Amino acid sequence: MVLQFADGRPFATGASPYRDQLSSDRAETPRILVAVWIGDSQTQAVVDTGGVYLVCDPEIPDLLDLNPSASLGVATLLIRGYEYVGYLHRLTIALLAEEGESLELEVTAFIPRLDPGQEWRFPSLLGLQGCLEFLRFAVDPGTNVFYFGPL
Amino acid sequence: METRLLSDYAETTLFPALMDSTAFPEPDRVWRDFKIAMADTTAVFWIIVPTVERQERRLPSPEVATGPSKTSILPQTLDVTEDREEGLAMLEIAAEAGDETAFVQAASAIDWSQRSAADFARTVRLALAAGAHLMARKLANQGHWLYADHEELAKMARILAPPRVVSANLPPDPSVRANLEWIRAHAAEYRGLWVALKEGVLLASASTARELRDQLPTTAGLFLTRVI
Repeated sequence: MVLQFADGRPFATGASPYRDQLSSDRAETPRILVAVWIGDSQTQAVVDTGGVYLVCDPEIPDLLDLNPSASLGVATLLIRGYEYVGYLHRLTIALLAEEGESLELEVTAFIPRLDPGQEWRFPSLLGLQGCLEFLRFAVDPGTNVFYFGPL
Repeated sequence: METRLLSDYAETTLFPALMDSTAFPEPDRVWRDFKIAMADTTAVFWIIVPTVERQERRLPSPEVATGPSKTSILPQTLDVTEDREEGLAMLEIAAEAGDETAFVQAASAIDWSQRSAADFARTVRLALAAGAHLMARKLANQGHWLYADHEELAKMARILAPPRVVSANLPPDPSVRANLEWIRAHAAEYRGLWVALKEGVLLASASTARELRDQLPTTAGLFLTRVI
């Protein structure tokens, strides 16, 4: 157990380091960029508590062999001022712990489908609804550690 | 002629509780004068009050703000001669306008216990278009509960279900820090490229994820990311 309540019950069971900057972010806005398993490989994603779903980089399906027939229609999301159309999938991911226990989750994922000429300029995003909403999590910006655990 | 006042829908401002980069879709449509929708053979007629004909999108400067706020306005007056689709037309309007609040209010006013499986499926699709993601989940779940054999509702309910913890006791991965540290140290050099790492060591880089995968005998267990 990594963090606990005063009565000893676990709050967070895993802890992971995070990057706090995107290299392309000239404004140096602080981020929480953590490592996650998606499918059978790891990648990085930004914790986005104002967002919905796991929003994947549009090229992630090239690494995952997703079955298009298992997706749900067409959904539209506005991501930082840009409107993206894509598909919803059910994916299994894992938050990776450096200390404690990693956590495997089944989440709703949005896979953008880019129109010709449309650009993708974001990392993958871990939204609240459909992804992180039933986890406990905490951030220590002093040591850049992201704590997480099941409810 | 029945007149419904929709003043509750006007001047609705949404502020996500914890704003960051993602928000729900927002309309570009400017409402003008009149709009007519046909539902089967029944005309549904909306009168739009000209003084409220605006849709605003206030996007933040990416340099200073972490998320959008949005203001949306739907028609204040709805004249309905006969709505044979019993409320679904209102959902269509809200979805077309991308107005989550109006959609949720309209959907909440419908007695879903008597609706068909097709109505549920259609409304879930509209909810996703309106940005009403929680309502989409709720209706998919309710529709699947009522029509367990309906394939599309079953898929909707499965994909939109709340996230579920599959396993809470997986072993830690000590390579996490090394991979993130490599990205931090080499970001400028590899910006925009896809890279494959293993325990903080670069294995391959490429312009696209597909090209990266083609360079590697397997991607299993590797750290794969676009450097941003």
